[in-house]
Amino acid sequence: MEQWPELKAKTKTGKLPYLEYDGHLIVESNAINRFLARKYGLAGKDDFEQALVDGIADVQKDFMIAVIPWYIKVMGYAPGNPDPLKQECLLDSTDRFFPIFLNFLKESKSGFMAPSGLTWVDFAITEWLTTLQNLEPTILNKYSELKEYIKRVHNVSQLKEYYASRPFSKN
Amino acid sequence: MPEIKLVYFNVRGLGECARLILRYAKVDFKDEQITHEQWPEVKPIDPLIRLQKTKTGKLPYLEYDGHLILESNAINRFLAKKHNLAGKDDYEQALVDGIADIQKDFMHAVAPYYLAVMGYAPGNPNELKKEYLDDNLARFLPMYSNFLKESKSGFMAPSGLTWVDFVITEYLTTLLHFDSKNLDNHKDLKDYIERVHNVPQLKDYYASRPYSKN
Repeated sequence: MEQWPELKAKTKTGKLPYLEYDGHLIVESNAINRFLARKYGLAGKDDFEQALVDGIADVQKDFMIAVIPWYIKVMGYAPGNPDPLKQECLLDSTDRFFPIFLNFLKESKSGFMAPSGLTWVDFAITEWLTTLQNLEPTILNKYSELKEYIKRVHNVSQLKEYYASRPFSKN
Repeated sequence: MPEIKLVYFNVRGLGECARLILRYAKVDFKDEQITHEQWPEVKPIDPLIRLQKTKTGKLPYLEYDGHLILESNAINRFLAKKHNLAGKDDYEQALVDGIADIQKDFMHAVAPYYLAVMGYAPGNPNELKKEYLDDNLARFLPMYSNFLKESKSGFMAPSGLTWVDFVITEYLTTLLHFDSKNLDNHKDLKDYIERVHNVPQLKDYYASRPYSKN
């Protein structure tokens, strides 16, 4: 975080992440995620499923945007007391978006967001759910299916060890 | 031929890009437009019913060959890929996707002002203008100028027209409807709008489509 001011001037949009891939620069997290996912079989099995995954990722972004005014205060990125914003930004948002995620899971029947199985949006969503739990430990108390969903993603065999050993990051 | 139906409000908004892609490609589709008065019927109050019908309670949605596709950019990217408007290769598609995400950030940043101007949310636009419009024009428009300069094609992607050109020019058009002076310091972006509006496959449509403030 200390290195950021100097680096920020060099990035195209003043934001992170960016990806350097074979000499190409790619900006914006979901553009990066989708690009990499398509190369490694994590984007969705056909055009329709890729569109489903893209759509769910956009719903996830809307969710984050709705929570952000509270989130940036809780993380100390913005000044002020987060408590007055908690109901509208956190709790109302989870009431709105958790059922939508549950519905997608129910419809896919695979235990992941896409019917064919694990895709990149499962990573985007479970990381955000993990962050929300770190910031507000009771937030998933009424949503055991989402808790199980996080566990399921964390038990994906190719990643199990990484999840178990990566350093703690609140967000 | 797949059966295609786009459902959105009777404004340009977030639905117009899909309409433009399909018209550009001369694909037959049903352009179902919902008025704001009709919306409560289409969007059921009961959240559980809402999930069954529109899944997220939002428009646009696309019915394509029996499949339901949600979220404007997912719809736009899906249709664009079918009609050579997504970007010429993986790298260019990632560039286009990234610029589209920046455009979304731009819209979200301006939203408090936008919603007040449109009367969708309370607030005095004049009080919101400096923080939510002017400061964001200063932040985002230079990024667009830079992408255009780097692409050298006159469009956002080096290979030429892509779906993100539709998304951006529709929004810039809306900003000009709010105040014709909003792009006064950005002649390159005014030229860009004209260039997209003169794409031969769409010139007639742009010239004759009904006026929509947003």
